[in-house]
Amino acid sequence: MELLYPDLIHYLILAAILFIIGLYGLFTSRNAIRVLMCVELLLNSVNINMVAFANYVDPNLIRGDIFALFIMAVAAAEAAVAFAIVLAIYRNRSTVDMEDFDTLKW
Amino acid sequence: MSWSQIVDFSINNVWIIPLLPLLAFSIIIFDRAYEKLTAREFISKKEYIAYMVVGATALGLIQSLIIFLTSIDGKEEFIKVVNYSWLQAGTLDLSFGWIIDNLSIMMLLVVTSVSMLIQIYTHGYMEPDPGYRRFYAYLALFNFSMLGLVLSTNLFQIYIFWELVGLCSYLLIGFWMDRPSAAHAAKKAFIVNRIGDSLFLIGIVGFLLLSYNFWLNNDYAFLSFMHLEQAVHSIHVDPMILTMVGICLFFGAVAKSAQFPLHTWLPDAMEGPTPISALIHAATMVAAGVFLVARVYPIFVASPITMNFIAWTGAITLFMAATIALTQFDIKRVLAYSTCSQLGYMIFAMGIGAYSAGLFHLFTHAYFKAMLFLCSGAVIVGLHHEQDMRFMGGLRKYMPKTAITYLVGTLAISGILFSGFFSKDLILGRALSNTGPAGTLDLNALALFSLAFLGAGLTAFYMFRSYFMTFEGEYRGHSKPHEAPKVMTTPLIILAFPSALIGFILSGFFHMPDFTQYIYFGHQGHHEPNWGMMAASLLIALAGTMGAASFFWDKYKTIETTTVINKIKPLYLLSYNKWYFDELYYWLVRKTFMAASKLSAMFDKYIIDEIVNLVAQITKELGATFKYIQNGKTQFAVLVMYTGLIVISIVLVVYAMI
Amino acid sequence: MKEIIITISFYILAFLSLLGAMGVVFNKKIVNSGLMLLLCFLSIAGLFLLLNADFVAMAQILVYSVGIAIIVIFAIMLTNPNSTQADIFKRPRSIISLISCFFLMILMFMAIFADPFIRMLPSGLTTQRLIEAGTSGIIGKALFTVYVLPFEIISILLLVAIIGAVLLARRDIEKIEEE
Repeated sequence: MELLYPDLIHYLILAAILFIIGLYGLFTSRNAIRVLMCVELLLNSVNINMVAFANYVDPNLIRGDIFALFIMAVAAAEAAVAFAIVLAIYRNRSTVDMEDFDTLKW
Repeated sequence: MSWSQIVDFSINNVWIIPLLPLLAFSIIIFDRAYEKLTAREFISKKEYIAYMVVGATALGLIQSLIIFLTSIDGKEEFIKVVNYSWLQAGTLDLSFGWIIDNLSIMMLLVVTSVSMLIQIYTHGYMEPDPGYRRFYAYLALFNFSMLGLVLSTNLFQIYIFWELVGLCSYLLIGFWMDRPSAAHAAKKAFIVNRIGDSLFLIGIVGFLLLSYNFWLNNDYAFLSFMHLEQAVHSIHVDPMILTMVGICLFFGAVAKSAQFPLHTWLPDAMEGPTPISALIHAATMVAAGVFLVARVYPIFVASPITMNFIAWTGAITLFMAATIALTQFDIKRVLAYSTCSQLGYMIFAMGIGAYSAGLFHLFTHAYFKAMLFLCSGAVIVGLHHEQDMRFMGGLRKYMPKTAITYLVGTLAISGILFSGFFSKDLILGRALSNTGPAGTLDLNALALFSLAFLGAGLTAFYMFRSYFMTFEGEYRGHSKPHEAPKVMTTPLIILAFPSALIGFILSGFFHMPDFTQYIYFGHQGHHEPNWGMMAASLLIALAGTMGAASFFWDKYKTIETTTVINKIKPLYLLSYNKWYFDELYYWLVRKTFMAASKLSAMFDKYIIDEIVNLVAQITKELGATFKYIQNGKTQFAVLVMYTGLIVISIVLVVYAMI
Repeated sequence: MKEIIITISFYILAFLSLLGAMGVVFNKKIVNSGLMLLLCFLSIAGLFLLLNADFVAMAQILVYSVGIAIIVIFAIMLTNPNSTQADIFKRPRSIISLISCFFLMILMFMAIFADPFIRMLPSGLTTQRLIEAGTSGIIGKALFTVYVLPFEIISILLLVAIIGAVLLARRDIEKIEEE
């Protein structure tokens, strides 16, 4: 019971697993929208770390919480622009398949 | 200010003399005010440039005269040296300064006086030229360099100014650079001078290495001229090595003074404007070679082989150039070869040990040859840029002042009573006495003497030939000749006086100061007039004059030129084609340099280039192989990036664990 | 009692968030992925509450669960909602990704369990004050004093992002006129 009680380590492990899942999705997804969702997952796992550290290490100033808020704002901006780009690409090429986006090819 | 204060100031601040022309040069090139003027305004105002340059030189002349007057007062030779430490590298400590001794005072006088007159003359000659301003700038720069050369205290410093005058010569020969012939001539002068200068530099460094310990152990400025003699005595090596160093040093003078193997640039240098031919390629810069020989004389004297080499170089040059001058038709080319020949006399004098006589000839030659060139310039202007003597003749009627001054110069250079007579006579007298006392005969010295003696006759012949063809007889040209403007004739008339009289004045007659008492090497020599020699040289000069008259003076013409030419056709052609030196050099260059350059081109093409190509090929192949990794997919790129990061992290972690 | 509730809710929320994340990545239908993302965001908001970060949890619900999730749903709707993910395991890239992710996980765990790191942390420290007063006051004070400059810059960033998104997502005016 003592070992199971949620401590900093537990949150860190959870965030790491979430991060890994998001990263794997980032590498392998073919749908551009799913890739962007995976990016959001990565950002969220980082936020968990931030808030966990703020709670356990820095409870007086909770700077981690503030950083989490900033990350959210940046993520929101990023999401808005990224999805707009996906829409623009879709209008031009009628597809959101990442395998078709290879104009940077040699 | 009292007189003695002025004298002290002049002597202590001799650096002002070269600095004033440099100041004038800087003002001309950095003054951008004229850009705001229209062309017409500039033409009307451009005289200020001439005033500035001439003024700078005139102040220098005054200061030189003051120093000169001080220097002839004392019995002892006047020497003042100032050295500043300039460049220190390890134990090497080069200095920069100025030296005033009788030799440099004489050169200061020559350079400032001749160049001042020529700068005045230039205003008339270059008046209509669009490059007026540039020309004066170059003239001022040349003046600075030449005066700096004269005042140099050591071999390194003289080398700097040596190159500077070479640069000015290049710029001024190629002054009309839009003419291909001028551009070629400038290049030729520069390249030929490079050959000599590189040997000169080798000589300087070689001598420095030989005498390094001497300079280290004594508290003298490195390579200073004052202590060259002691330095030479301190060297204990195989005499051949010193001879080689001496010959290398001498080659600097060979190129600058247009001596035998490297003389070909001087006649071509006549492509430059005539004032330049007078100033640089007759009076001052080409004499710098002789000046250099005089400065490093102790090194040459130490080796009889070097002295003999110098004497023979001079003798061959004076004879060869004189024979070439016999048949040239371009008036400036005749004068160029005559300059070459007279420089040969000076070098010859140095080689046979007639130190004072050689410099005396330099002194007199500077005046009369500058004047002759200026006369030819006046003729060229008067005839609307006609230089071929076949289209001249009878100009005495149209331009009397020019004709008279030219005649004075001709008499002087030919050695008939005027100043050239005294200096040349001194040289010939020494050459004759070198053949040994009566009964013994030194064949080497005799051969040298005969060449020089014959050369004197040839000099009279070709100079009078040019005089007769230009000024006597009937006019054979087309355009109407006119006398040159006053600004040009005045310097001519002024120059005529030293040309005629300086020999008398400085030859010890009439209780006047004797040149040989003023400038000498070793102990003060005593000049004993050799009446027999004087008569002989006068006779051969007169013989040359008569010969020229019988060929070329219409009034007394007795011999038809063409018949004589036909009889000695090969000799005539040899002379007319300048002994085929240009052809020989071109052939040599084609054969050797072309072969060498072809070889190096092959090396470049098949070895260097191939190596470079191989590098490019390897890169290309690598790119062709690995370009498939670059498949343009974003996710793949991210994956590769992350994988690389992870691999590096693992390596670091494993490394840290171990 | 309180500890048991916290423990149980942590594991439920952790399970749900992982489930949501897995769902995002492995669901064949993209619309389902989007819904799974919503689940993941909500459970993370719950975790934030467990961490005494009430303000961040609310922001999480507002920004992520509402804002971004809606953007995602719209994007799916506007593109091709029926597209399915191809067999990802057959491509060699998936295997490399898997290996790479595996090693990254090992590295992360090594970092988490590294001795000095664990010793450095104060374990099991919770403050009563945070639970009683909430975090809003602290965050508000910090945002308007220490972090005021980043805060203002973030506002400009958001403005720029809005304009940029509008510019990118709108159709060309000429095309509209042609139609």
